[in-house]
Amino acid sequence: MTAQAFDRALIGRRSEPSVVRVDTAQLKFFAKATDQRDPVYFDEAAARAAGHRAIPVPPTFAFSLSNAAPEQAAYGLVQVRADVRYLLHAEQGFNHYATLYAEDEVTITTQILDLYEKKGGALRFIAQRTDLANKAGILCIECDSTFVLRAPAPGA
Amino acid sequence: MMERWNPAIGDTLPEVERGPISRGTLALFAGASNDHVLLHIDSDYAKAAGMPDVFAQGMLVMAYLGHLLTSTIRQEDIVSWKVRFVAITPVHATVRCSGVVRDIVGRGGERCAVLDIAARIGDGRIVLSGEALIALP
Repeated sequence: MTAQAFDRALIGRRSEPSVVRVDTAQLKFFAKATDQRDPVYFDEAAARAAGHRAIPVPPTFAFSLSNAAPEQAAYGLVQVRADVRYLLHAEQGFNHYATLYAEDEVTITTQILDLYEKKGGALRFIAQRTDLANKAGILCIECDSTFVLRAPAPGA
Repeated sequence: MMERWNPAIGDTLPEVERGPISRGTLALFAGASNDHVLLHIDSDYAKAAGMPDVFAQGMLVMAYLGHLLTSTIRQEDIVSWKVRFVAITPVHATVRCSGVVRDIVGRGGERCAVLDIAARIGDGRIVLSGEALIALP
């Protein structure tokens, strides 16, 4: 099966915003699942003692917040009708402007930055940027994701 | 409160080791990170997609690299960071995270450290490789 070439007209397309709340229990669960040993990230008292107003959203959890609104995390993948069986994460970056905290309300939008192919179309790349803004409308984190769709094995 | 980090070129961060990554770890992380991609939690699904077995979410290993940074550096001093997922992290792997200051640069009137960061598994193979820009006092 030959994968379809990307429709490059999709580059630059932006999602409608989604609003999610940073759930304190989810942050504690994330800390447990990642073997986090710094109590600032799972104990409110430790967070306050360290000068935070609540448990801070740890680096990388911005990506999980966008996953809480799948229409954002999967925006580029849905737009190109990706077959997620062949999906891999190629690159991930974060630009930090302000810290988000437990129970903050976050507005999320996603834009397709680029669509390109390598190895004669055997590897197809989807690059998107997800913006996370706080309730005041201030951009706190940019979350840059590049996904790759590998070609299915022959006969698959 | 954590003091601001003020390194010199060549300084290293204390290494962070996490794992071994069990199937239970993968399942918990899928739930905790809202990542429902079945390649990481259902070995039947992974094999049908041509993979030898389930494998770690790249973002799980990147979270370990986050621990490397925040163990020494105030989170609000992390200006930006990025990684490439250069190899798959198989189930049962133990991950070692390291970072070294490659350069100290000026950026918008602010002094910043540029760190090379990497996550390696058992035999020393790099699975994640990237860099971080850290604001300095």
